[in-house]
Amino acid sequence: NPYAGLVSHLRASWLSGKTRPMEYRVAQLEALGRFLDDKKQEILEATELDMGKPSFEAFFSEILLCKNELNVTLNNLCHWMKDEHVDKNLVMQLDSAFIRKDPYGVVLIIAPWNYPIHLFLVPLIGAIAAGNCAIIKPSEISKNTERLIAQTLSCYLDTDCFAVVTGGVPETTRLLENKFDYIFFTGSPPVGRIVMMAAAKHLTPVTLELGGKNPCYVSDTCDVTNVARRVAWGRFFNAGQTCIAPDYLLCTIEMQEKLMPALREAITEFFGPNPRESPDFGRIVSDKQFQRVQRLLGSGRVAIGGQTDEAERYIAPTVLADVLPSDPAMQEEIFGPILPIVVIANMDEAIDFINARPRPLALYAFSCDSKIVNQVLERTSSGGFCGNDTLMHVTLTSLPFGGIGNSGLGKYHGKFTFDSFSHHRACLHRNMGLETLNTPRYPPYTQQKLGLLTTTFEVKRRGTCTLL
Amino acid sequence: MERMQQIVGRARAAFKSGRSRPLEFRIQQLKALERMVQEKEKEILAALKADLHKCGHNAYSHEILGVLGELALAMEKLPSWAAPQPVKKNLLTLRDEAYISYEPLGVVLVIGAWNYPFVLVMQPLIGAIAAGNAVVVKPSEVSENTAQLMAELLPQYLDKELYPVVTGGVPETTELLTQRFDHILYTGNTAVGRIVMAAAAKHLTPVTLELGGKSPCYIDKDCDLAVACRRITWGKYMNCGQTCIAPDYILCDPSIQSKVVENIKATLKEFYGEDVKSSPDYERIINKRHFERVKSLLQGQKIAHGGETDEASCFIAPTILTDVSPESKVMEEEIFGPVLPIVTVKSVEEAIEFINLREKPLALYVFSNNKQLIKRVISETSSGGVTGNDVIMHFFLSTLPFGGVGQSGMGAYHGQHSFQTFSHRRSCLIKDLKMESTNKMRYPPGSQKKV
Repeated sequence: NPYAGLVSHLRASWLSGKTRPMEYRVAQLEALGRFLDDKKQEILEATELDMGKPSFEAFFSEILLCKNELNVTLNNLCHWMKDEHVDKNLVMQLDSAFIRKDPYGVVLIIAPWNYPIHLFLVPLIGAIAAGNCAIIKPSEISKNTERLIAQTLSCYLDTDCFAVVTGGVPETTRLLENKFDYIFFTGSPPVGRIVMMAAAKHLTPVTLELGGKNPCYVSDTCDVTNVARRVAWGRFFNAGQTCIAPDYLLCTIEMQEKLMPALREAITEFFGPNPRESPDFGRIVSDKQFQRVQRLLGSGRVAIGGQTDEAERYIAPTVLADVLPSDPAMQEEIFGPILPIVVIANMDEAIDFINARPRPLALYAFSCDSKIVNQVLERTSSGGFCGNDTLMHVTLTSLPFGGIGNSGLGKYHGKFTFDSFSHHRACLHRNMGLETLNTPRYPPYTQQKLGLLTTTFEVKRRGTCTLL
Repeated sequence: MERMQQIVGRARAAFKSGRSRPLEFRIQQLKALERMVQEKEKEILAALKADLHKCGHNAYSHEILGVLGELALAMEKLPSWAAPQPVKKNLLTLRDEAYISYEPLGVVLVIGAWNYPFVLVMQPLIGAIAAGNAVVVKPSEVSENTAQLMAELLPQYLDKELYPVVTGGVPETTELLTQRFDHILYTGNTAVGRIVMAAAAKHLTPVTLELGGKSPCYIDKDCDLAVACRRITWGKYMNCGQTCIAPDYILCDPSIQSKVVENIKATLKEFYGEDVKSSPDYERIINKRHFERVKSLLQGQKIAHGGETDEASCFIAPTILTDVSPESKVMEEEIFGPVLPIVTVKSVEEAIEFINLREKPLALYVFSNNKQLIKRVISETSSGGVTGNDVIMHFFLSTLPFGGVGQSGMGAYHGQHSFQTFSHRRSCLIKDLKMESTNKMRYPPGSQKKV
């Protein structure tokens, strides 16, 4: 296996224990911070070359959000690493009982192309914070960013403990044959299955950040202008290539009619009369993706946009009206700047529509009536939920970010990343003395011993009294 | 195929109806389980006796007491466990509602093991019900009396559609695993753990795997040997060694090896009398296959104590092996029987190295008067859990997560950890539709000022 040597080199570093002291972890994390500062311009350029990512967006998602995660981690690492003492029962009052956060060992982080720095760096922050060694496998599709990462990361991180592997499907397949102690994958559900199957061979725990179609319900009672802005922002950010983008809209026919001019206005406000000329609107990452997304335009009717340019991989910010559940745009995650509107009669129908489909990574509901927002929340299931806005729930590091069912398993961001990459080890440190207290548990068994055991071990419902 | 599809399909439809979600319903089901354990105690103890030759007191304290404890805990704490958890907000979200909502996953599969056949089904079941799921229960067919009893009793006390019991062996379990679940908790061996995870991968189903391995037990020269050996004897030979967290083998300095043997021998006499076979408190190996397997581990070994076997009753005496070679068969696989090998090591460094060369175990034990030494062993090794100066006991504190790492498993449960394992933590951010001006800085057209 072409990577066996690399993996075993990292494993040897891991076994040496060098990644465990807090000072080491802090030093590596600070180096990551310097990477973001020093290479800011290169990151903006690479992501622009890869998918026309507007520098405003790139700064926000690839630099700012990453630095936030870095700072939250650096600010709290000492606290997170501490043993977590737990409540004890009667028998263990004199013992020390705590949860120790152990690193797993050598972890693998596989990142996708749409937010190519963020989606390897934020997991890596947690992996390093938790004391692991890591192999990073950036996406070959965002090839300029891949090259940047491969060439420069080694200048910042300890190459004995952190390595970058490049390549496509064949390379990733061979990489996955090796034994890792944790695998963190961001990408599509079909590949998620492949990764989990490979992990199963070695009983490697995984976090899978996948995707799906994120529904966006807009009720009849709402501020149309604000809804349109917030939905348009979330949909067209990164030219729609966002795993938590509102994938499709559900609303009544009246609301569709009201929304359309508001959406048109929002798009014009954001990107000008010709979005193709706006520096703030991105492009599709590859020809293959461009053709895939373009095909989805044959759904419903084009109410806004619809223009494409293959040479530039440009697809205009597009809104499709009267889309049917059987239309192409409703068969797969869009991952492009197209917003289909599916008309429903009322909120109940919208909820049934959502619940008939695989559980999404994100779910959005807009209404001036908070009861409606809560109803949608309570009667559906999704990775995360945001009421009256899009995307924003993932910018709060105290909220866990992850999917459910087809949209993924596991979670991260903030402390959740650290926890994902740590083994929570139950530790009970007992007293060597007081052996007489143990007598009830030893054979030969007697009724009296059993009575004693029951009294000391039992958890009683509150309201009853214990004699001890 | 049809049968499994129907059973799981019915459970899913029952879950979709929403009736397992209200806290009152969950508590009512847990109360019913509590009644079942109290009313059918005799039958449960009889089944455990028939399966494992487990005496009433042992069965009660190892299987029933713990279950009653988990039930009481879950019923008391459920409202606080299930309450939405507000989270720290940032500047942008100050005016918003931000919290984590605990939601059921859907249909959970619990696959039990034969060694503690009652508690290893009941504890996961309690957590899964508390979290609001439907649960398909698959007890181990190897402990057939307990499996049969659960198949009879659970439908008498619980909602039949939400919590079906499926019996059968490998073919039935394989079929069951082709269905889609929202979480699978499996207790058993590493080889089958891989099969379960591979089956789960097809549906992207999260798993909790409670597996096994060889749990090492290091005895330092500086320690009260009499106490240490009594505790080790208790943990090793309970359930005839068939405990996933039993101390599998001992590591100690050659100078104390014979003292260790003497102390364990003395304790064995204290526990089981002169004739172990006639002690009502000593169990038997579950079946002929495991009997043969454990017996074969004795070949070529120096038997310091025990070694007697009786095939007809699957009896293997509490046995101690000394000067065991790390390469021998008894040091290759998890013993899961009343055979205790002692491997000598010259120092704690050697012990740590020995442990780290092997797969991460489910439990790790270290005995010493020296607190620093214990801390060092914990820090320089990895394992599912640890008990210092005792064995097994970390299992009994429900505030500690119980689970493995590496080949010994993934995920954890017990107490609130069960509730969290079987819940989806959904992040929720509820904003106001007004206050749009604060959003302006994030919208295009982008400018340096906005940045």
